[in-house]
Amino acid sequence: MTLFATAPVISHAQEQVATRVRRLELTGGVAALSLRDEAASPLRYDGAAPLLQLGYTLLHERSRFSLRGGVAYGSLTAATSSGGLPSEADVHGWIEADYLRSLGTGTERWRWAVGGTAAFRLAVRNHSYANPIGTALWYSFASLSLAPAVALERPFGDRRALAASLAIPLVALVSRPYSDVQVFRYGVPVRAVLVGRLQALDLGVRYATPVAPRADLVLGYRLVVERLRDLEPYRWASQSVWVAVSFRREGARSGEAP
Amino acid sequence: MRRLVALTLGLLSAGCADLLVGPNAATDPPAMFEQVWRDVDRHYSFFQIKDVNWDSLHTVYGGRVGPAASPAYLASTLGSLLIALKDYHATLWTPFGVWQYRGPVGRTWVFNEGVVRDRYVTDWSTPPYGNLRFGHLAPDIGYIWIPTFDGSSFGPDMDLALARLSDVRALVVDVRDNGGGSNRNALDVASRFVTGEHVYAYMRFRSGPAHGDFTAPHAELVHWAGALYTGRAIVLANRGTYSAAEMFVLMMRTVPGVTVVGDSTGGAGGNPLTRELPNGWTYRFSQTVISAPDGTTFEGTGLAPDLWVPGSYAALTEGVDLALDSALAVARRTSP
Repeated sequence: MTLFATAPVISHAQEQVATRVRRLELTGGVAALSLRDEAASPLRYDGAAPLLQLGYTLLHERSRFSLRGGVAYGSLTAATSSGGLPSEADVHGWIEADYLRSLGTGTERWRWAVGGTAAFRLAVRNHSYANPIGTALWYSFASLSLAPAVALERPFGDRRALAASLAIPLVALVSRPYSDVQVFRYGVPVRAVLVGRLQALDLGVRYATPVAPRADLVLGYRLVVERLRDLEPYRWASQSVWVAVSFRREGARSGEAP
Repeated sequence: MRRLVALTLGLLSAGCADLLVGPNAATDPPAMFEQVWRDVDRHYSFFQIKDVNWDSLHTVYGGRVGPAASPAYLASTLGSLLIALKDYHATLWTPFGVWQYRGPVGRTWVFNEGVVRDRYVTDWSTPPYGNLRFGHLAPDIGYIWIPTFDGSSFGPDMDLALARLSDVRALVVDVRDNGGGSNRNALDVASRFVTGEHVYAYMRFRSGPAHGDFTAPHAELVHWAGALYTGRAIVLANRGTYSAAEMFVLMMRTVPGVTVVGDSTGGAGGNPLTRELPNGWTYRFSQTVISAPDGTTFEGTGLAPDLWVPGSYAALTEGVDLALDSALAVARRTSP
C-alpha cells in the first residue's frame, strides 16, 4: 500500500500534449499517527512524525510511472502516559511504485486514470513500558502489497492542477512477529493475506502550482489506514500534510529528436 | 505557522483516530482480568512443563472480579493469578504493590556483600561503569562480584577488572543474589573466559496460541571477546541467582575447568514478555523455554552446582561465608 505518497495522478495538461517528462520530487511533511498494535498494548498510541520522501516520476502522453521512497520517525504516547511513559518510538520506511493510465481523450476538464500500486513498508517500534525496571521491547510490522488505484485530476492550465487518488490493497505479504521481535531470531514468518484480512486504504489529495520554469510547488494531504485482522489485531493510521518541490525535465516524445 | 500545523494535526488526529484505529480498550475490572488471562494463555511458555491448568485458574480467580471490584482488589487478584504460575518472571506492577513469585515457602539463601567486602577482599574496587566489584581474596586469587546484569558497558568494566587482577592464577566470579537483567551483559562478562565458540543453551519461543506452539530450538552461542582470562575460574551461585545470571552460569559451564560452587540457582528459565493494561499497570511473564545444552530445563528447579555449599545464616553472622570459603579452597587446589 502506498504511504505518504506525493504521487501525482495524471500528467499535467501541457506535459501530456507534447513531451515525455521526468520529475524528481522532494517532499517534507508531518504526519499524525495513531497506532493500536495489540501485540504490544491494548492502548492507542498517538503522536506526530516528521517525514521525508524522494520520488521519481516518468510521464508519457497517456501513462505515468512513479517510484518513491521515504522515512518517518515519531514518538507516540498513550492516554495513560505520564512523564513520557509508556511510549512508542516509531520508525517506518516505504518504497512504492505505481503505474497509471489515463482514460478518455486527455482534454476533459476532469481526467480519470486507473492503474496499480505496489508498496513495501516496514515499521519498527520500540515500546517503552512504564514499569519500575524500564522494560523496552521491539515490535515490527512489514507488508508488501498490491493495490488497484484510481486517480482524478482537474488541471487549471499553466501547470496548475488539483488531484486526488485512492488505492485499496487487495493482496499483501505480511510479516509480524507472534509477540516481540526476539522471535525473529528463529526466522521471519511471512504470510499472504487478502483484502478481508488486511483492510487498508490510501487516499491522497494534492495541489500543484508552478514556482519556476522547471519547478512546481505541491501541497498535499494523505490518509493511510492499515488494519490487520489477527489474533492480536493491528490498526494503524497516518494523516499527513506535506509540501513538495517537484523538478521537471522535458524530453522528446518517442520517435522525435530530443 | 507551527501552531497552524499543530492545530491541523490535532484536529485530524482527534477527529478520526477513534474511527480509524478504534478507542482504547475497556478498563472495567472484568475486561482487564480477561486481558491478563488471555495474554498469558497465548504467550506463556511453561504451561506444559509446569502442568498448569490455566482454565481452572480462570474459574478460580475470574469469578472473584466483578464490575465493582476496587482497583486494589483487582491488583491483588491479578497478582495472585500470576503468582499461581510459580514463575520468577511472572510479575505485576501496580500503584498498590508488586506481585512476584519468589520461590517455594522455606527456600532461603544467604549472602552478604558486607561480609565479603570487609572479611575477605583486601582491595575492594569498583570499575568506572559500576557494574561489578572486584579485588583480591589472596595475592594469587581474584574476586569479582556481579550484583546484577542490568545496565550497560559490562565489557569495559570486565577488561579493567581483569587488567587489575592480572597477577592471579584463580578467579572467583560471584553471581549470588544476582536477579538477572540482560543476557547481552551476561555474554559480555562470559566472553572474557571462553575461547572459540560454544553452545551454552537452547531457546524456544511461544509461536502460536496453543500451549504447545513453539519455535524450533535455537542454539545460543557464547564466544570470546575483549580481554581473555585463561586461569582457573570458580563461579559462585545461590538460590537468588536468577534469569540472565543463570544464563551466565550456563555460559561459564562451557569453559573447561570451571567449578560452580554454592547452591542451585533460582530456576527462572524463561525470557520475559512485558504487557500493559489499559489503566497503565504493567505485567510480564515468560515467553520462552530455555534448556541446557543437554536438553534439560531448569525452570523452577535451578541449575545444580558442582560443589553444594548452601551456607548458613549463623556462619554469616559470625562473618564467615561458607560458600566463598569453599570456592577459596577450590582455587587453592589449583596448580600454579
